[in-house]
Amino acid sequence: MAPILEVKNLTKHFGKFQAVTGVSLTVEKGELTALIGPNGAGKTTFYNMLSGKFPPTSGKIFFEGRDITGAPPHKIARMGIGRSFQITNIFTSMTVMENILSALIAHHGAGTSFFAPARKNKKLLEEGSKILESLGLTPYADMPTTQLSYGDKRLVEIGIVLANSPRLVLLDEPTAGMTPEETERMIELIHHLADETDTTFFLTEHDMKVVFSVSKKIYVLHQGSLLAAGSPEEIQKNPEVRKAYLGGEIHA
Amino acid sequence: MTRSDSSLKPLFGWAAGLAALILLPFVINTYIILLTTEVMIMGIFALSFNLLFGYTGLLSFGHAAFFGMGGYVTAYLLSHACPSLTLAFLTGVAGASLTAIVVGYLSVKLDEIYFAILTLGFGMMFFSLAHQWRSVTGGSDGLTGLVVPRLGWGAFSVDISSPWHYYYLVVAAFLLTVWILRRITQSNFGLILVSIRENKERAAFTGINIRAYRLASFSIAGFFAGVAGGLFAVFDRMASPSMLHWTTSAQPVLMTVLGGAHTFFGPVVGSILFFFIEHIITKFTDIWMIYLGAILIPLVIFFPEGVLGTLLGLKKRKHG
Ligand SMILES: Nc1ncnc2c1ncn2[C@@H]1O[C@H](COP(=O)(O)OP(=O)(O)O)[C@@H](O)[C@H]1O
Ligand SMILES: [Mg+2]
Repeated sequence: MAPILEVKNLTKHFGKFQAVTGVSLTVEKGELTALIGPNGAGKTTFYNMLSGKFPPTSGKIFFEGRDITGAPPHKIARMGIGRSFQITNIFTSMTVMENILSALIAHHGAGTSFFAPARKNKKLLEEGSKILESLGLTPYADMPTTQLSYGDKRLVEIGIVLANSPRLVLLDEPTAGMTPEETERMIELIHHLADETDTTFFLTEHDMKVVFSVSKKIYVLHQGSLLAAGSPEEIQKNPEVRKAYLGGEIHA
Repeated sequence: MTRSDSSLKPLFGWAAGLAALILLPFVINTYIILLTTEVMIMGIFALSFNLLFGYTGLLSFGHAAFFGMGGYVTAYLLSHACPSLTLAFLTGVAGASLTAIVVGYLSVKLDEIYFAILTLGFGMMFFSLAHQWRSVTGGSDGLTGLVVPRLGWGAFSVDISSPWHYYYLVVAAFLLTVWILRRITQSNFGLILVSIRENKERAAFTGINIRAYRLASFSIAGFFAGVAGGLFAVFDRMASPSMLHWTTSAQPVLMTVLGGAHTFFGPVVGSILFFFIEHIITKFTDIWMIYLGAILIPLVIFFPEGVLGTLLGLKKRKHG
């Protein structure tokens, strides 16, 4: 089967600085994949190109065989790629349910309905409730997101992403800034979603321990270039990866 | 509070508001009738502005362009023997909407201060145009000598040159505008506008075409600004460049900030306060704008959510 995502020679320059240099990789459908690398390795920049925040300097991105290089974010989202951000990115002063409803409306192309009250749409509310339930956010449905804990805010963002029913989900350091308990809950959730749904998850992490338990395949990015690729066991044994991480962090 | 109570309460509010507007002419004099008519027209203008500002997060400093366009086109037709008030008015609204589509198309790419400056620029352009293009616009004198035909057909027509009749026409337009804009802001479309306001990056990565939604919002706002402008021209029996002046663009901004941008009726409350303050202060002095500024500054500092927004916030805190 063709890979769901195929990236060829992706490069991004910011002025003279090369944030990402000639990265080629593939993500297979249904295979939880991780892109790891220390801070500043270029992971977020890589995701920004995949999701259309800015075009690559050179290289190509194929999603389900289609060339999506340089397409704008809303088009890429409509094609079936969802993403979360390293710094929580949600509709702040809206309620949790409204956050999800917005994404559902966008997904169903229902934003051109000018007259029927959005917050009374039974079909959308039902769909939204299901998503909130799967995230354990049901009790907070009508709460403004400003009143949520940090970890729950990050879950709301996952909810927004899921509401788009994407076939590929890019999670940029989903556990960033979380307490150990929140981290565990998030990892469990991703694991669960990857197993239970058709969605393919591709996530970045700077902390290797987090991904070893869940990923099938790991790519290691270092100073903008791909350093290694393989199963968690292979990555753990790789001497170059150990060197890049200064030895200290790999005890998974 | 029981469920039926809470769903009946807003209905009660609407009925009370409607009754007050209908009965008002029986208890007040002509001067107040004229004033209330003007407040409602400016209320429509401010509500249209707030679809852009409060709901979409776009601060336009050129909203008078569409108010003026609605006014000028309506006035032009009525001063050139247009036999139908409805036709003149609807052409004015169409003119305002088309202008908004073009200006919006060129502006909604930009954000924040750049959007504000660009819309200000467009607004000034239309002002100069009205000033210079004498043969059509009457230059600095504006378009005067409007002949206002009866509204309706034959036996089913009314003369709206009486302030009372015109008052009821404006009441109808005001209520219709309130109803439509309220529905729009609560619709799927309205919720998407709010999410763009809240976080346009998250919105874009959620599959929302920001520019398209902003343009739609801008055009609807232009449409209703045109409604206000057309009504104002008929009310004033003229269209003058002051309708297009940047200070006219500033009025809905002030009214909205005064009343509260994040509550639907904030701009209406703001326009009532605006006229109230203006009429009280102009009794004592001509330089009322200075005093208005002196009132506005503490208001904005201490009531950042506006008067209505702050009151509703207090009520919410007390009850919940
Ligand atoms: N918009 C930008 N302009 C200039 N430099 C950038 C920009 N975005 C990222 N960078 C630089 O690119 C490098 C990689 O950053 P990033 O992709 O955020 O790394 P990571 O997500 O792996 O921590 C960093 O040195 C960062 O400073
Ligand atoms: Mg990053």
